[in-house]
Amino acid sequence: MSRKTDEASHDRREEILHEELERRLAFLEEEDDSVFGEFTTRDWVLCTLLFFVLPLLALGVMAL
Amino acid sequence: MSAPMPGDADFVKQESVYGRLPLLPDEREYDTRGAHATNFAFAVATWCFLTGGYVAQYVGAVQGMVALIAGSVLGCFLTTMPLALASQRYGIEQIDYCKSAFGQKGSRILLVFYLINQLGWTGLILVMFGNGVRNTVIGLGYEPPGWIVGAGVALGIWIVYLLVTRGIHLMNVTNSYVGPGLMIISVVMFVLLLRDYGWSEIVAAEPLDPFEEPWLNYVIVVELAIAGGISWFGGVGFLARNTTTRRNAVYPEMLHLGLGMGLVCCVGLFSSLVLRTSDPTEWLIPIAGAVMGMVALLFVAVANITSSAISVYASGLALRHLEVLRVRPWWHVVLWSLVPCMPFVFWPAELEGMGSNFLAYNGTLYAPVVGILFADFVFVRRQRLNVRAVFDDDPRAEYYYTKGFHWPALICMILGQAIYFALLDPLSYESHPLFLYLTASLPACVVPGIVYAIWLKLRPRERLALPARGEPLTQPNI
Repeated sequence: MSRKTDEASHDRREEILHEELERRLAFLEEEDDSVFGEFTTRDWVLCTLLFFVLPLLALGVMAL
Repeated sequence: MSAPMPGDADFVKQESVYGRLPLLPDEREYDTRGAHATNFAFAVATWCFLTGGYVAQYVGAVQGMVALIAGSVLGCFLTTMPLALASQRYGIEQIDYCKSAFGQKGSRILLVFYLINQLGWTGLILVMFGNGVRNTVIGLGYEPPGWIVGAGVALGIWIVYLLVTRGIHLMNVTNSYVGPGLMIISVVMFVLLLRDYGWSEIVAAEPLDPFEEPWLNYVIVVELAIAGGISWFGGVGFLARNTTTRRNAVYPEMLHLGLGMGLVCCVGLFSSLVLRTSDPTEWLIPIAGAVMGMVALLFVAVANITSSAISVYASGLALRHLEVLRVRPWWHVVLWSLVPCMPFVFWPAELEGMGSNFLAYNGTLYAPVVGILFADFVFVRRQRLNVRAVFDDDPRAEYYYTKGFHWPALICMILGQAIYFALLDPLSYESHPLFLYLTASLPACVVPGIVYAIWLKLRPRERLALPARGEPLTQPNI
């Protein structure tokens, strides 16, 4: 009896989880990028220069 | 589809916060202020002081400072860009994100790396917490027993358990106080160091235990710094998943986990150089005096706990990928996350002594993975995921690849690790002559990334993008 109740509860949870996952996936697919904030080409260039090129130059200069 | 029942909403909330459900924008905790505070609290832990202490073994202040800051920013950039942008956009946990490049089953290999990284760091930090307890007792004028560090680690584990089982909101609140407090302490420490010793003495201080060849010492430090930046792999996706905007995901991580960590490492480096010890809890009281030193110790101890809590939280989420823990209560998962930290209770000094090797080992593990993820997300997928395929175990699904493994990524990962070991042995620091010019992490990151991108360009994926947009999952793996 108890095992049947546990199984029913487990199945119910799985069902809820799958329904909720579908709902969330639909939202994430449908929403525009702007909902999650912008990260433009300018951000990429800035990050690449500041956080990749500049550190490499600094390490190289220090090595000389 | 059955009708909703009382308690269903609570269950869903639990599964999004403590499980793998993608987070929706209104569920995310970190706005700009929260993202900065949490990243700062995560970055400014004693691992910075620890790393500074390791670096003090090999180089002096100026070389160490440049290498630490530049190296950690560089490593952090490589890790953050793909992981943060993908995890933030799709609200997914980072091992889930890795499925796009490595496959449904291939990503579980990364799960092992991930847990080694997270729990290794957590253990090391908790040892520093234990050392802090010991040095606080000494500061109060008592002679502590030998087991006090292990007892401190056990106490730290218990507090972390309490914190993590009470959810991310409490951690967020804690971090918003700990972060600014630690920033003040780091600045005060630096000012006191300058006042008591002066810049000239700091600069003149010799490294503690260098190799004979100065150039080798410098490159080892660059390597440790890059590996330190890359080893944020364990946290960046988790933090980004909880942020409200993409810029909040990237910039706070770069500023705090990259630049901030490098700067605070320098405080550890300078202190270790002039006080001739790499243990931060030993130099806080001598530098700041009894009262201020105790306050600083207390703050650092609290920060250790918050950093450990974030690591354990992220590890717990990752452990949800294991079938056996998928539907267990959250506190079970947290307990399992903390079990691997138990050896640190019994052998704290021995495991702490292996810290610098562990740091280098992180580079070995993660550098190729990070390179492949960067190439995959930025150059192959153009920053777009089929998020539906992440959660589908159907063999026809896009990220199921060949029996769950994406071999190009896995082969490139092995290639990267081979390159790393050919250039540097992370345990003995024996190196190939090329290591002196290239480091080990950078080629182990860049080469597999390039090979992977070319491989997929020459042999594009033939699989259909299943499941298609809006199409129901056939074998959901949540």
